Amino acid sequence: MSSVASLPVIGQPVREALGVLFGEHVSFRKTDRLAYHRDLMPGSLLTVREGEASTCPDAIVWPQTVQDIVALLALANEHKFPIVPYGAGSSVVGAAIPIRGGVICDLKRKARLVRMDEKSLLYTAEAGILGEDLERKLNAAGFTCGHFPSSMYCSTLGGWLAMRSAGQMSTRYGKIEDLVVSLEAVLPSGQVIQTRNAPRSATGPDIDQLLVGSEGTLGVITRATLRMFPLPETRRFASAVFATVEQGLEAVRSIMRIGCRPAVVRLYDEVDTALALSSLGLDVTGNLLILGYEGRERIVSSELAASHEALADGRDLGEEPGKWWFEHRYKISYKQSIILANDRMVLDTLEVAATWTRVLDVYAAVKKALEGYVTVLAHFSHAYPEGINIYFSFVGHAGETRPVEFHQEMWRRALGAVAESGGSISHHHGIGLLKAPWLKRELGGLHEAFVAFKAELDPNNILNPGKMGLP
Amino acid sequence: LSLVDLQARVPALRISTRDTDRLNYARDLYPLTHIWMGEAKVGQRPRAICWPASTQEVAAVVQWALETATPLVPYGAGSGVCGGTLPGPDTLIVDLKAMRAVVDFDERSLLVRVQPGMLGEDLERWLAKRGYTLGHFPSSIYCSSVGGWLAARSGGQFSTKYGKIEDMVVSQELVLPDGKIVRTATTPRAATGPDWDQLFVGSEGTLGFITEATLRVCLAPEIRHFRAFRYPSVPAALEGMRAVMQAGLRPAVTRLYDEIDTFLVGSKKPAPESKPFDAEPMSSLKGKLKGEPAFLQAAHRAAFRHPKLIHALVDALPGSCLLIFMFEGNTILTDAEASEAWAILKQSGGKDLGSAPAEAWYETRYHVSYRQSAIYAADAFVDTCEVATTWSAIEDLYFGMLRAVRPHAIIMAHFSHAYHEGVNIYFTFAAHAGDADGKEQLYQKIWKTLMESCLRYGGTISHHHGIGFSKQAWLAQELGGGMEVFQAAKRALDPHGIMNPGKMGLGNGGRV
Repeated sequence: MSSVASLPVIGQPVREALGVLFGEHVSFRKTDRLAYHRDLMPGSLLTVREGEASTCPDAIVWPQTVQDIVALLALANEHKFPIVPYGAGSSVVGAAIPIRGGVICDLKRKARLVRMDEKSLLYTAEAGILGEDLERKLNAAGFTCGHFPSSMYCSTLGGWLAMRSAGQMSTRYGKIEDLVVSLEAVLPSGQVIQTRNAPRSATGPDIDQLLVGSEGTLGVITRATLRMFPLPETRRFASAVFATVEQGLEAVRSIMRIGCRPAVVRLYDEVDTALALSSLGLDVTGNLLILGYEGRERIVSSELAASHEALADGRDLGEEPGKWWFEHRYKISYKQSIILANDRMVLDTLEVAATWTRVLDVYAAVKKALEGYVTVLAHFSHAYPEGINIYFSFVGHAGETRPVEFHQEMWRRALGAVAESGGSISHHHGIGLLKAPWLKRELGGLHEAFVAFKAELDPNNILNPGKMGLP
Repeated sequence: LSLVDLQARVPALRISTRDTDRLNYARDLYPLTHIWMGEAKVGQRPRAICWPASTQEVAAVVQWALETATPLVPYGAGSGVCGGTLPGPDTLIVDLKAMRAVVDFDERSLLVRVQPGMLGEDLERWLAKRGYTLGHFPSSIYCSSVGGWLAARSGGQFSTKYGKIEDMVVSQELVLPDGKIVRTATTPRAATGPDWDQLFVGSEGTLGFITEATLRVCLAPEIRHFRAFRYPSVPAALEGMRAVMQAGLRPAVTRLYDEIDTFLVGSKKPAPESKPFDAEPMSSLKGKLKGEPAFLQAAHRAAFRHPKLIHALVDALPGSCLLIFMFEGNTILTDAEASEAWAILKQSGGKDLGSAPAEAWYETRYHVSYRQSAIYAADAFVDTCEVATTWSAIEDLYFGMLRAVRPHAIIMAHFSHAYHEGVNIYFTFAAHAGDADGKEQLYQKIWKTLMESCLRYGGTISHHHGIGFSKQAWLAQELGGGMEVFQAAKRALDPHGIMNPGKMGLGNGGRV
């Protein structure tokens, strides 16, 4: 692990200033710097498995107040060093990797649930609160945040917002951009902004929606107000197995088209049903569709009734597979280490959304591009009236090739196929480092506008530089 | 010289410098310009108007404007009520109404791709013919365009079910202020950075041209359920509305009228016949609006001169507020939603008035906007102010703004776009002042009072009319520091400040 000793980008005066600002809440220790030199991007796990480390941060700070962050940004602007805002480091695209060193700004000490407005069904929380803690606190008061990413145990509210997260029940409750009502953030200049806590405004471009998804490049999100929901009166499932993916997709499309809002819609293709679900103990073959509705009894019943006809082409499997999925829904992400323990194996996941008109093309194109290279599993989750997301999992053996290179080639093939077949390169994992070259391709001229916008907001380029194809 | 040059570059481009055209485009529906008109005053006339017929022509106009430092104002149907399209003397108005086609309809994905100059009525009719609806029904549907909806962040009367325009847009084609043509991806959702569509939605022509948009459509409803309820007070009725919204139900319409607004709604006669779909032809509407009785005009005149008297009278009446609902959509889902809602509303103390008052609203829903001329004829003026806040703050905002404005004008309100976390208030105010200067002064004073009291009580200064020219002084305070983000976007995209200068608090964008 040689690069821990790579040239520091901050000098002694900055170290001293950080010491004064943060006291015991700054670390320059080698172990901390190593711990923060990567996130959960599988490519970085493969590098570590080979015994190598990429660039480490020079320091980690744990601010507690907005003023701490303002002071940190002032120092960074003065001395021109990078700052990487950091939540719980669960990004799978390398968004939190400090590729140019500098200072990690870990927000986990800012983790209070500040207030619940039970009349407006809103809560305000600091950015560093972990998903699990947030949900437990809301549950204790009879509410839910409605946002359940599979990273629930290892991701923060600030990370959700910065990365444009989507939870497993997004089809009912909305994705993070639909849930956020207002936010507090520190701009690169040190300006603290607090957007208006209104249900909707026609007061210019939606500033919240420019910071949501900015992945730490445009500001540090420090606090936010989001919708919460009463805990559901009831939760019911339906499921069916279909002979083909096409039939299963057609069922989902007709359910979404009439205006149903299932909390859970998941269609597993045959391979995913056989490999992923059976590895967790569910014995089903075919393309399994799980539907889950929750909320008020009368509404849930009507939605189940309205969905019934759409399932007619499948074989009805009743409530059990849905209940089983609900019990196991966070387990699959923790099965990866078993595979990665074999030092020739690689794995990764790709989530792409497409309109109903294009989704089968995208599905087929990605499978074809990786045929004979890796095993491809897919399920369709996060459904919309106009389309659906495909969540691919790739598992492969690198053979004689270096696993890191084998893995890179896998990504080139997969994203090339997505771009050519009309999908978007990310539904909810974000861009970070991994997908930066393809972002330029997807946005075209708008990417140049993004670069110019970033330069105006952050002229010294201190916030998370080098990500998303930005300088 | 330079317009000749533009014509030479784009020979097919229609350009006009005629006085009648310049006069027409000297104003939009900003009521201050009505007041001026009543006094035979005219605002600034633009230098010229052009009607590009394609995205390429728009790009060519932008190129030319860059080279000649000509300010451009993108123009839809001119129904903005905040002066967002008011030109300067050098301005070239770029009217997009020649670009008004449906480009593509993806029935399978429920997406329609449409050009910006298409009028709301035309698009809704086009979709209705095929069994679909956009679900977007601003009261300006006869005189507003798709591009205008997007640029000014429109919200329709059925937005509680179908969403506002920002929820409907999936992708756009844009001409940036450097002349470049760009497109966002047509995909249900993407985590590919900031949402660029949402940068241009609401930018009111300051960041570029929207030259095409892909919008979500829905199946035309199978069924509609109407119902009205009476409550003793605004706070009691708001609780009923909140209970329905927070139960997760999605009425297409939920509207609560305060005491004065209820009184006026009750005096409206329903239209004789209802139409099979939503956009009623303009011609039939005109017929219904003829002949405002003379006594009503006299009553208007008397009332506007004595706002305090009217308010005292209303306060003395026994309180009564009307709350109306409409659910529509798939039969099974809509039946369940409506019956759940009616149960919740009865439980919250609403007196069930049956369906008639709600159906009457539905049938006359576009009429009210066309009744304003009577008030101007009475030598008074009328305007509307739409604000919003959370349920916790709504009573303070409503009563606070009422108290602040009552000394100056007759003011009434309805609450018309409800959300999980809050609701909007749509104030209508009317006032009368003796001479012309006094009228404009009073008008400005009322707006200042509205905006300052709105911000004081925690409201957002615009729910769906936008900022434009008239509200720009309050935008920086509204955005709570976010103006820096907007300004950065403006400098990045339009460093020469050619796009709609002098609006939205952006100044002249660095123009010399």
